[in-house]
Amino acid sequence: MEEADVVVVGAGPAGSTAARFAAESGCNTVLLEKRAEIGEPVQCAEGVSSKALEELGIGEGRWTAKRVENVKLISPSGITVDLKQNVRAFDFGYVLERKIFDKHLGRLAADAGAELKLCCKATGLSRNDGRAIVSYEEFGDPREVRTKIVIGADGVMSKVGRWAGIDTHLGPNDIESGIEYEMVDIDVRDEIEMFVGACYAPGGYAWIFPKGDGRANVGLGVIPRVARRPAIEYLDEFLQHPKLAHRFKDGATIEVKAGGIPVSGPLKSAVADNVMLVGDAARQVNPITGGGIGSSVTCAKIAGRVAGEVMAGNDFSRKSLAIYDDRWIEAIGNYHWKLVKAKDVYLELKDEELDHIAKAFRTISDVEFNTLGILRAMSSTSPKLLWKLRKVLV
Amino acid sequence: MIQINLDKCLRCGACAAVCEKNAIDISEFNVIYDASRCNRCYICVKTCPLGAIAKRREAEVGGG
Repeated sequence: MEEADVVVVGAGPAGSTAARFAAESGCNTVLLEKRAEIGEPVQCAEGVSSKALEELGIGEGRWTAKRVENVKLISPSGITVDLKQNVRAFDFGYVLERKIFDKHLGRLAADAGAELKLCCKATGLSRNDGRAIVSYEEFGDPREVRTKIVIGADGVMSKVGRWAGIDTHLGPNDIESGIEYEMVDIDVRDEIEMFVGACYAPGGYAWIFPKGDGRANVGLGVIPRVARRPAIEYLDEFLQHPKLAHRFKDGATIEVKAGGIPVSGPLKSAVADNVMLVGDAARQVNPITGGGIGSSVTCAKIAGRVAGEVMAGNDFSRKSLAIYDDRWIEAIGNYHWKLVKAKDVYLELKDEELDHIAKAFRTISDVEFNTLGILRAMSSTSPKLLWKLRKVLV
Repeated sequence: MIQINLDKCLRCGACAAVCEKNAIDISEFNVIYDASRCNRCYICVKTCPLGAIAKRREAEVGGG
């Protein structure tokens, strides 16, 4: 049987980053990817913060499509807020080319010494004598690898989590049903546009993420519990919106992307005996924005380093791996759990209330540029909102 | 019971992610629905971004 120190399942940004830092910490690391290509299919609006790229130690490159110069929020009645005007130091980051970005992160894992294995689909997990055995199929042929640690980076429908006995269940309020068209020859600027309100996307928002030269990701996410129709119908309606249709009328769609975005807030614990979960599998996603690359790679880096730290001992139990929980919860967990409460408030807000907030928000300046800072500023415009968000803002 | 329209399905896995009973298994090409596990909550029907999943009457199940 093959042997490894660390087996990572899934070569998305979280998996490749975990593999990279585990290998860099001296672990004999294997990265299993079920598909024939890293970076495919894309299920993402492709926005990434500058901070996330810094965390990865990379800057602009072939993997960045466009630097974002502004984030515009658009209320149901069309009131716009240019966050660049309101915030202290605007620095959103970039819109990525995920297909190139993911491959580059895979390369960084390989450069660090991880063994990349494509067309390798994990099929099961068992434990024996303090070790884990991962079964997988390589081009359909059954294989097994015995390992000290398994890092599950297998996305929103994580099987590693289920096999390990970690409760990863998502309810109908816990997922955004997402759909997106990558379009060309449309009227877009170098700014991200976020259209909030039930009239666009019940429970979520519609977005335009620019990729330069008249190309953009145009999509939306809806919360299944409050949406009355499939997400794609809301998107097709969005493209026909009387105030927006002229911007899309000469456009063409070059890719259709769909996926579920976990907005439950992160798992209470992302570890089990011999197992750590990272990224979408651990629900390490901002529950307000649905953005997950930054938080996922931050947590994955922690997981990779923790693997390196515990390797010297002979204890890969849940208890031994709990330092991963401690660190990622401190890094993003506590913050995201706060934001979950704000998401529940957002689900209750009526479109008229969003209009009111947007109008008042236009006059505010010196806002801290992060989700919580923006929520704090918004709540200062409305005593009712301030009351509703009191638990979030403490 | 549900019916998955494979021509509409993009294999995104959103349905599998919300299925409490693990009744749906999605891979790159295949979609496997295990009716014996399904508890008829129909969250998957509401979650599918493409509207590819429909409720199916019990009586129709036998016909596949």
